[in-house]
Amino acid sequence: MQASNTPLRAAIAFAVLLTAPSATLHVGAQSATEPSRIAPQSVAEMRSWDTTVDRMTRDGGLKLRQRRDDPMLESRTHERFDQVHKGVRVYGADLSRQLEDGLTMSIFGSVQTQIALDDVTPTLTAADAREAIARESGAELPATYEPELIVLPLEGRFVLAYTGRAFGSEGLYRYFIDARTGAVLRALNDLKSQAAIGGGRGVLGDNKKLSINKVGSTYRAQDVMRPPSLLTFDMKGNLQRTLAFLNGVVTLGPNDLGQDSDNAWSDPAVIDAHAYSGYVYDYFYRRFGRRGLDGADLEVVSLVHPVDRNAVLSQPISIVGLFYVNAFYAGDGVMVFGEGLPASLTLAGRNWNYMAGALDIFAHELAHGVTDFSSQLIYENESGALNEAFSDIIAAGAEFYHQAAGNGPLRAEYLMGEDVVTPGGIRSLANPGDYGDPDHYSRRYVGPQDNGGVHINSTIVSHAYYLAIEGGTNRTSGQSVTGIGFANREQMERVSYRAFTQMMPANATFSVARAATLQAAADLYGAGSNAVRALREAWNAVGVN
Amino acid sequence: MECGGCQLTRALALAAALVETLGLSPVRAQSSNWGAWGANGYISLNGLYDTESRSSDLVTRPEINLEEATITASPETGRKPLYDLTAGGRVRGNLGFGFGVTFGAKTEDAPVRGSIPHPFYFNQPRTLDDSTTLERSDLLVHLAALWLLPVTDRLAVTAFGGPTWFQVKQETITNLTLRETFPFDRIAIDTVERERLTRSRWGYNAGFDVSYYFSRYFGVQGLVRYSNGTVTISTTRAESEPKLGGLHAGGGLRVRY
Repeated sequence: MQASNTPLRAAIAFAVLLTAPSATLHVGAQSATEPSRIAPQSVAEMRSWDTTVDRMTRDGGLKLRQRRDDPMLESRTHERFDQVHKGVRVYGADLSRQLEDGLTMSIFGSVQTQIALDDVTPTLTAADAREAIARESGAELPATYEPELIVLPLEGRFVLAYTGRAFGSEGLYRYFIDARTGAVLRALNDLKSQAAIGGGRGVLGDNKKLSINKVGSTYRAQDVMRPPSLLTFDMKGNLQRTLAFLNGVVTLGPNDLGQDSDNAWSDPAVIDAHAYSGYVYDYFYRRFGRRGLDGADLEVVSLVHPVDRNAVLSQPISIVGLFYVNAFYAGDGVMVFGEGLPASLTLAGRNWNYMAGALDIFAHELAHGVTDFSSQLIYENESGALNEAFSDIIAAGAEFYHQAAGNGPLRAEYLMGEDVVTPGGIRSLANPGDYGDPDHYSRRYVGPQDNGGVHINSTIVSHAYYLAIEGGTNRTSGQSVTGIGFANREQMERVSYRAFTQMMPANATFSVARAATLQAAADLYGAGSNAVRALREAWNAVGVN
Repeated sequence: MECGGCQLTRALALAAALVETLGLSPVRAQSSNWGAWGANGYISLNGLYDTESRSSDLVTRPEINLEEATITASPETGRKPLYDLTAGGRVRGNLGFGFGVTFGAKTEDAPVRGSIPHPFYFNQPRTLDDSTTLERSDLLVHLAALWLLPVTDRLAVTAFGGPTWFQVKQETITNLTLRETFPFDRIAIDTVERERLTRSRWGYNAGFDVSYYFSRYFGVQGLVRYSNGTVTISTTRAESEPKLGGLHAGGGLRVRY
């Protein structure tokens, strides 16, 4: 989403090019026998650890557990190693290494460097350990159940132990059995979390349900009921931490997630961001059968409160443009939602509320992610405008899918961002000219601003989409279009999705988009269908041939 | 499956026939004081069958996913065997007073329909169509005025009617856990939380029996009794009024003394 305010557009152009790694939850080990942490801060340090990893692998101190190609970055590979001591795995000690064409790019992990355990011959057999686990858990375990022999760091010493999970009357526990005495060393509750439904009022005061993860007595904004993990992080107004995360300097952990103690949530930005993240996933799934941004349930990370709203007047204009009156897709499933402005301040004559409070903004940003994983429309000139147009088309589609049609808050129409940028939002698909945007190819912007008019010119395409559904007369050409009608709007959503995600090349022009959408409509509804006719009329009306 | 009441009836008839075969107290020897009532009265032990097929809608409205769900279980409450003990005695002439106790229990298959809120969205309930089992027991205590009409020395017909006190113990559903996965459109029952409610109420009964004595003391009888009543069962944010009683028919051993 981007405000129509021109000075801010340069900042946003930077924003949308900004890349950030996906957030990963990292919980440090809590053993009293502290391992060495591996998180190199310099190239030299990484090289040193790289050498150590190779040496330990040769010596049998590390064992390759998994090697997988990176599905998102070609030529990247990820390896996972377990630390082993005299052939026995060391519990909780492992590391991951990322390679590019054989060259190490990163290493993270933890290893034990002073294991004092000479004899790794167990007194108990695996069957003895199984019986001990069965006895302790009350579970009936099959004969094929085989606990794993491990080296367990425990209270400052290393113990040879068996470990296995069992679901007994007390729940799912991981048991550690002393491999020499049969004593139960530890029983960890292995039931990581529990899905819960929470509730709260969003930015506009509406009641929403939230898919929440309950860990202990804390409710966290992590959706564990939908196929992908949908995470909503509360940056608590800490700009430095936000920037550090977006630049890959820090990772975010469970404590950074939006949290609530009683599951009656009170932070409207967290509530809307977390709810809308799911709404948009559901829209893509139900309307198009798409499973998330990459079609394979990529984790989605939403950041709210990236800055302190009350500190806006002390911020440079670039920060205001990026983190206050803007939302952006930062790559790899990460989205940032601006904080808005204090109620006493206006910009371009409008009030700016939390950006996460508008479903269309959310859908717009996630659609950028879908484009990233499909057509990869180049973000400049006409291909960039198509990129933006697709996001607006999806935004309108998601609104109509989840909200009743009409005007006003929480109603679906063809305005962008109107629920949080008041009055009126920032763009109109129905009447682009009302916002100074072109509704016809002859009025297209050809200057260098806005990456060659990616936002400005997007309305030529999105207006054609509007005309193909609702019909009407283009103000510039005067040409009339008979739309397929509101009741059939799903047809045009499916046509657009098919054309933009499956047919469009990265450097597509408006003319290519016309051809691709007509082909998609013919594929789905037939060459002589109303959809094809309406679409052809709409493209003609906006001057794209 | 054979009904327990039928078995009981057959057993009682067999016992009566055995008494007669052994020549104990031949009916011809009865004194006129005895008549159809006996000297003091009679007791009968019967196996009955609830002949009516009927279901009761037991509605509950628990909160699920932050909204009110509606769950309706409709167990089949009729069509079950009953055990019955009846006693009667003469008051004057053909008029007498009777007392009876009827008991029956059954674990019933209960279709369960429901409107279950969606986990992610308000006002988008899913439809539940599944089944479970619910236990129910009925205890009926009858008081009756009797009109006994001797037909022969052995055969008599009795008509009766009066109030009945019903006590029903009914399991109801208080909440459910569901088997459901994304996108949470289709749902089925995973586990059922139940509550056993006890309610009682007065109603009425009317009917007749036909008795036949093989000997001075022992005979058999056939019994048809209709009883009726309703009771209010309150569950979470809902009330149900299952019908009680019904048309019960069967027979058993009758002893006069």
